[in-house]
Amino acid sequence: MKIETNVWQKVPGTPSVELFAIILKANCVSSNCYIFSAPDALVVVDPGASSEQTEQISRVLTDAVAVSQRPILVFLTHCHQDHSQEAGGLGFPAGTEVKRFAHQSGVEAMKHRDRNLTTAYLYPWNPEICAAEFEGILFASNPAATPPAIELADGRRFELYSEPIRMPDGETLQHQWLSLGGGNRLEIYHTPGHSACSISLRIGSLLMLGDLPFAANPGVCGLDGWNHTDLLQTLRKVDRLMETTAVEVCCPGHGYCVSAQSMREKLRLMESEASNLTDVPLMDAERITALKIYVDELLEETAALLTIFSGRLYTASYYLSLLDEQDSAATRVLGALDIDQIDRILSDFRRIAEAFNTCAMPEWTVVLKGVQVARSLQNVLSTEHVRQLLDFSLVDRAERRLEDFLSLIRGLQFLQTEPPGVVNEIVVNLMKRLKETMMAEPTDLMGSLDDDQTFLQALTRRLAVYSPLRDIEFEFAPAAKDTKANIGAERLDDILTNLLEGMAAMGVKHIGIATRVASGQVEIQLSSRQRLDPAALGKRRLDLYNRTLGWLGGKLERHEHDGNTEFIIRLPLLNSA
Amino acid sequence: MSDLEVTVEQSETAAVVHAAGSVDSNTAPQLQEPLLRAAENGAVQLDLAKVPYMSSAGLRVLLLAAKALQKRGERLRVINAPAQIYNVLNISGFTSFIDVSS
Repeated sequence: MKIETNVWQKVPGTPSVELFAIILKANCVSSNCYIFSAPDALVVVDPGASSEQTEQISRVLTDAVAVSQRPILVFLTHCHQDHSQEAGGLGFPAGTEVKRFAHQSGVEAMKHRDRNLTTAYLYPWNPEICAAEFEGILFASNPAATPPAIELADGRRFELYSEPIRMPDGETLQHQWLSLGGGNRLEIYHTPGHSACSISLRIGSLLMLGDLPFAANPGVCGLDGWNHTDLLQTLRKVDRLMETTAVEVCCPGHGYCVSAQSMREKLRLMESEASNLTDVPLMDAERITALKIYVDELLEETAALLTIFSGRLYTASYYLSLLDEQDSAATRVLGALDIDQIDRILSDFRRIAEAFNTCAMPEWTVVLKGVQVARSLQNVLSTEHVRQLLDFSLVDRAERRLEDFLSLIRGLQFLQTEPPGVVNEIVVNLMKRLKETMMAEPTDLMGSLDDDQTFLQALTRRLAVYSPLRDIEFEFAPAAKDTKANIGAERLDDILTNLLEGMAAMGVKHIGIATRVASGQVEIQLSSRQRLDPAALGKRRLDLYNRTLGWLGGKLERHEHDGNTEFIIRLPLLNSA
Repeated sequence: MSDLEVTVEQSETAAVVHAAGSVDSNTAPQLQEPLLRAAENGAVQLDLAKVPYMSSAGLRVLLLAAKALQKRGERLRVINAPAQIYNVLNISGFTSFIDVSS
């Protein structure tokens, strides 16, 4: 069943409930809103936080009340600002009764104007927390009556029946329900994890999960109220719930509705990902600011690497077009990698980052967008074509940056996945690799002469691995002492290669590399025989290398000596014993 | 809203195309049209003094202009390239078929 937006449609699995879904393009400012029309009540799930949406909800409710006067029951899947802000702002005809429902802990968070638990702190415009009265306290620890009941002015009552559901593993899913008349029921489940006050709601075959589907996302896990143990339990319980009830469609708090089957697959994948998230630090304002700076640096670095990718492919296509009147070989080369797609991803991000700088976007949005961009780029880079066409080291460098970013933003530690390396060996291997790339004999071309396609691929690859380091004269003066340092070969190679390429691109013809051991540190000195424009490598890129080295206890310095530019990397020396 | 401005002036020896603003997938078409038109008619210099950022969409426009000029045996000349753009053009191999000065 497809959920249509902005029209009434029948809810499957119910005798007579209809749904009006307001579904927005996923964003962190305002949630989706689901409005249900049942014989005894109109139900609003998550009014959201945008004034336009509030106006639309109010119009829909006014029209529905005009057809049949009924009370309005407003439910929050949780108390986060993007779902709750407008719960008190809806408009409806005079005489219409409104009762609001939320989990007890959410009601308390809003009552105490808790900017962390409501996530109001994420938004730079300092939004008001919903101050409306919540008559329906869900899953109350000490209910005033059993069953708790919400009474209307005319004496009618909505009774909240509690029927905990026993799970096969002995756990219990807290469950309440109320009647919507005509044999229709609204089922409510306590599903904490994303927040302590998270609930899921079911009407017939429709299950509204709030933000549960995003709870393990980088940038979302770690928000105040997030709980790893609760989340894993909830995921298991919801999976079981979907197995045992006739759920057909799942309606998330953001983005489009999906089939129950797709959602179960997504939640299972999420469970396996979330199992590692045992030590997620609190995503407070300070951490978000730090992450935002890191996002900027990372995207600058990735954009630089990907522009170089594209540039190398364009260079290859230029030379192929000289050989090929029809341009078909060149066209095929460019078709192998969706450069425009990469460019659009990065351009969109750049615009969002700029919007942030004009205070039009929360920092958190930039962080979340960064996550989305990193994942999209990971998908592009993982295709076989890219690896066939481009210099492996360039692809690997970009991939490692994205992996580091996604791990860190999720709150995992910066991953030193490789064993510490011996700096002298790393430098020697790097120089050897560069030399091999530059000196690659045309055997690959000779060996592929029999087949057009293979020959084109080999030729393209040779053109696309163009390196500015090919004309550089290197001189290496290794330290005589042991140079085992706290860094893996790949990360040090990445930083060194980027610095060397940057120096070469600025016209340097000679680069001296020297290693030294002093005061418990290994020092790697890259020196040119000329002054280099500090802007050429990009401040943010240098900041990123410095940050990466900083996580490993090291740092990157730039010095000017007698008109020459030097980069010095310092790393903690490790005992090789 | 456009945040790339392109103006063209004719010197004695070449059409000089001045760009001001970032060249990315949103703005590259604004550079492509006047640059290719200039490339069809004679020698071209592209002045990037006021371009803080160029993405691969910008590189693509340079490639198209270079190919148009190459048909007449000419090379595109990029002048006043900011250090970062110069760096990318060099690392990606563009300096082997266009002339770039910073």
